[in-house]
Amino acid sequence: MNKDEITKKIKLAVSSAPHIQNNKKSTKKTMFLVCFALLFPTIGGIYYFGIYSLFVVVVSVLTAIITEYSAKLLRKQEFKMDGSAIVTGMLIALILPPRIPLWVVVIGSAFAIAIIKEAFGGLGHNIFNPALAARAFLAVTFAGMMTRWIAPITSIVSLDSVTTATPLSESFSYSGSTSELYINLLLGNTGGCIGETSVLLILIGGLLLLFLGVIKWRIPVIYIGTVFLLTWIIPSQDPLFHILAGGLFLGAFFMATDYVTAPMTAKGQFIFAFGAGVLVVMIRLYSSMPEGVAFSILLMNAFTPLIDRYVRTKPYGFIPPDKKAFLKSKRKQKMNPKVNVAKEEKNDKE
Amino acid sequence: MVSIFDKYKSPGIHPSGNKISCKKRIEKASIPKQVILPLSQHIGAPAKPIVKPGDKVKTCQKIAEAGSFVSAPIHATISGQVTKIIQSVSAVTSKIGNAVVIESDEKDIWVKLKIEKNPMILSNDVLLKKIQDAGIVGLGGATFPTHVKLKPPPDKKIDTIIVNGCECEPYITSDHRLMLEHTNEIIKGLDIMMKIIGCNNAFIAIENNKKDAIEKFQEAFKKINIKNRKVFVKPLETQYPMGAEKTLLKRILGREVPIGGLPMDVGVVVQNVSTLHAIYEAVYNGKPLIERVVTVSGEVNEPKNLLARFGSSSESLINQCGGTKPGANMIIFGGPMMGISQVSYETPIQKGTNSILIKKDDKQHESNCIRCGSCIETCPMGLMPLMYVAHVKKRMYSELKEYYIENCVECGSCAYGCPAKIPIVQYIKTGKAELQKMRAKK
Repeated sequence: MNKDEITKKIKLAVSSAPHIQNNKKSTKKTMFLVCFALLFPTIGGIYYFGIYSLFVVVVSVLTAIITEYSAKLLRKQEFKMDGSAIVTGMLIALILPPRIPLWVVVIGSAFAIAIIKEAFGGLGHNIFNPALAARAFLAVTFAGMMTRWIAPITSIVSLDSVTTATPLSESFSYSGSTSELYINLLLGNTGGCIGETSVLLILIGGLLLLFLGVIKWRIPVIYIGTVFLLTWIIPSQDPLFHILAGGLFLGAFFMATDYVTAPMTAKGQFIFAFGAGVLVVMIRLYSSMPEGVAFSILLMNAFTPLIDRYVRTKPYGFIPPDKKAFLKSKRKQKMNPKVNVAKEEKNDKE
Repeated sequence: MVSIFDKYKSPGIHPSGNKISCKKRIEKASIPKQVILPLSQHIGAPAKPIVKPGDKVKTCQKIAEAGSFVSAPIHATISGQVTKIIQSVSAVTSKIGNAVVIESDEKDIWVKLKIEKNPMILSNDVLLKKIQDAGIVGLGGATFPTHVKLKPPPDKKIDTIIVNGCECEPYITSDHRLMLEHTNEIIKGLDIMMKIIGCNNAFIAIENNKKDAIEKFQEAFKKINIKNRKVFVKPLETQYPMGAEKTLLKRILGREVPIGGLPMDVGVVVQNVSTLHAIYEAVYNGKPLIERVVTVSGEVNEPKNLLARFGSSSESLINQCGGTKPGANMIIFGGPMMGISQVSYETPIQKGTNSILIKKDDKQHESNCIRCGSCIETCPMGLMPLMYVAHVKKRMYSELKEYYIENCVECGSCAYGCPAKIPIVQYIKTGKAELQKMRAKK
């Protein structure tokens, strides 16, 4: 055996099956597709609330990336640009009021990555959706700034703004016809967070993700459907208004579908989305807060580990225990009918 | 959810077929100079050697007897002299066992075979004996002794036979070529099997990426018509793992094999086409199982389908296909989804080796699980593969049973589609092995 042959023999790679992988799918690709889809509501935010929205998005994304890098440094782990920090950064920006001071954005974004994501173990280990948790944190700490809404502006570069009420707040009033209101809600021509107002643009981004197979239909459809049905049943509520107003569509397509914080099984996802839908209606109608999408998803996030523990898939060939015992007894009867006859005789005597 | 709407549907994946050798006729491989024949090439007890070093053997001579009922004898695949009995690591189970080494005399002298003109008049016991003596095992890869499969316990009534010609693994074309070139032999093998089991209902399952094979069988059945016998050629959509017997059974009959059970529990016997061909050879020609069609494919210069004797080293077969392309550093016995990567070029092929695949090692490294649930969605067994990874990482092995780990067929669908590139099957195999250890301790 010469040297070449020996090297040839040793250089074989050994690994466990399967030896091929689907290279069309990867975490990185998924994250960048979500980023791409989020561009639609971002563009809507810039169109309706001015160029300042873009600053908010950029600051939020940069803070998220820097925080993740520092956290990985502290945890002595390798920093990988998998795009998840960008998604979180964009989502945080999209659910903040249009004129939020940039230093608040920095705090929110850093909180989401450092406390909610990395402290729990990084990508895949967080219990709560980082963006929503950051929003909840900011809403509690900076209540005043987080409820200052402006009306859509006329010129993109202008920084002037007129304070207004969001459609869901009590002081909201609309003078035009209902159909006009629906169209304005659909297009996003109302007050609200940077990325939540334009249902149409969110729907374009969401459907894109749906067709690319990044998200599944279950959570958005069940979530929005539950809100629609409940507000339809409850008297003196307008179901169409309730699904179009507020952040329901953004929450349903981009936040509730977050892989990490939603249940994994189909059944679990049904429960999750239904529960979130009920919570939205309850918070909107019976609590002091006008909007409940963020808290509904966060609360259901807390239930996700429980749902995943108890809602499991049915394995192939699974027979419920009682049926199994029944089949066994039947087989026994077939095998030795004599025993049975003897038993019956005994019963008769008794 | 799918199962509620359609009980015949089974989830799966769609890797690219890469059946690059499907147009190549089966070629006879050259007779090897030396063969290494492991004594455990099947599921069950290893065979017991009946030759000693120094003995002269002829081709097809029995060199090892079945170790128990669930076992199979081994025959010499070349003529020559037994040089030694060595310890070798099995290419399939990675367990250490004995192997007989035969040095060729380069004459290839055969034992006189007993040819049977009309075996259909023979009794079932005689036929079964012939199959048992020929050392036939399931050639699809599971290598379960065939005579055991053909003799189900009396309380299990078999109502359907499924002939598995799916060949759902990418690259492999050995069954495909066999179906094209030996259609009549396979049908005769099926006849024998139907007679032994006493069942008149059979399906021949072929994936629709092998249109020519489907047509060939349909034509063949137009000519042969036997009363009371129902044989259907069943084209199926191309999907992995269609050829796994449990998935196939569900796809064709809508029945599910109970957890831990065998297809015979639901009245079905599934048999691979190559096994049927081997049954034909054993019964009509009296030829024991000494060779099979092996696809050599992947990063080789000339992918081929070779009729190779067992015990030939993979290196000699690869060289007959023009050698490997530069950069290739993996040898896999079987397909890319379930095949076992080998440590050496010298590993001899065995009864269960349907393919030698040469590949570049281009697997990506694992990253964090993002709980996307794609493994759950593609699992044909309805399991939750990511839970195995989570529990094995934490060494919580006993919890694995709660998630029915024994139901896993290790098809690899989960790991193939995993966006985080987690080698899920590796974790599952670790988990299964640890559970086995725990059981052994008790």
